Amino acid sequence: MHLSTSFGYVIAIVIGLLINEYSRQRPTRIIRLGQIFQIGLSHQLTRFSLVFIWWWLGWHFLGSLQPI
Amino acid sequence: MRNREFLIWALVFAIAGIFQVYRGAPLDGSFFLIAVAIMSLIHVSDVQAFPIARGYFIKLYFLGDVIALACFKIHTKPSLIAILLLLPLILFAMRGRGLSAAVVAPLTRSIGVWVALAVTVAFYEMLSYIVGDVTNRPYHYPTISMLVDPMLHNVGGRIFFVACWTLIGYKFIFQKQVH
Repeated sequence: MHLSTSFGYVIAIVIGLLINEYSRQRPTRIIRLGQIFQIGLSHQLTRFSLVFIWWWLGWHFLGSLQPI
Repeated sequence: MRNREFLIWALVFAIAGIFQVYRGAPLDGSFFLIAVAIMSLIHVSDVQAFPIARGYFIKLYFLGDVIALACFKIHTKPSLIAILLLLPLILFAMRGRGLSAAVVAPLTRSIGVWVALAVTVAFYEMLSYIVGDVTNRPYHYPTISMLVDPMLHNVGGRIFFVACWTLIGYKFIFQKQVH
């Protein structure tokens, strides 16, 4: 069960890579993820939210004293 | 546009905060709820800048802190202090007024595709956590955190993670706004 559940995350990564590859080949259909972030970062609240999520990931995986 | 941006992020953070409390991490939950409160203040007051220092010193502070973070063992007091020292940078990142990007069809479509994938993964992970919790068999239904955490106890894995995390954070905090 552990492996089959983990496999779901692998599928998500593969789908992400496929979308990314599609956006490289057809940038007029799907904009690349980097560009979406660039546009998002020019909006104050989105920028705050993305930086907060980034910080929380560091807190969760590295800093928090509560073990995962 | 600004109202919709506020509502979406506030809703996402509120759900994340409630879920953190459910999983027994009230401190994490309070971080998300404090973020919603700060977001509300920004939204209402239309704050434009936090001029706390020059960019050069901020970058040195940021890099020094993340290098220290890579050296410390995870889930210890030194790493806790190092991560807390990064908190002021969240406010620094908000400098400048947000610009409106023209919402064109490819952008809307692209955001839709990536958000659909992100939401699916989030629900899948949440379901894994809940099923593992209810059946008392968390190993059989791992979350992303449970899969990543063992790698971070290894020095190589931790340096790799901190390097990727730092690059993303550097981009998020110091990225110039697009016109």
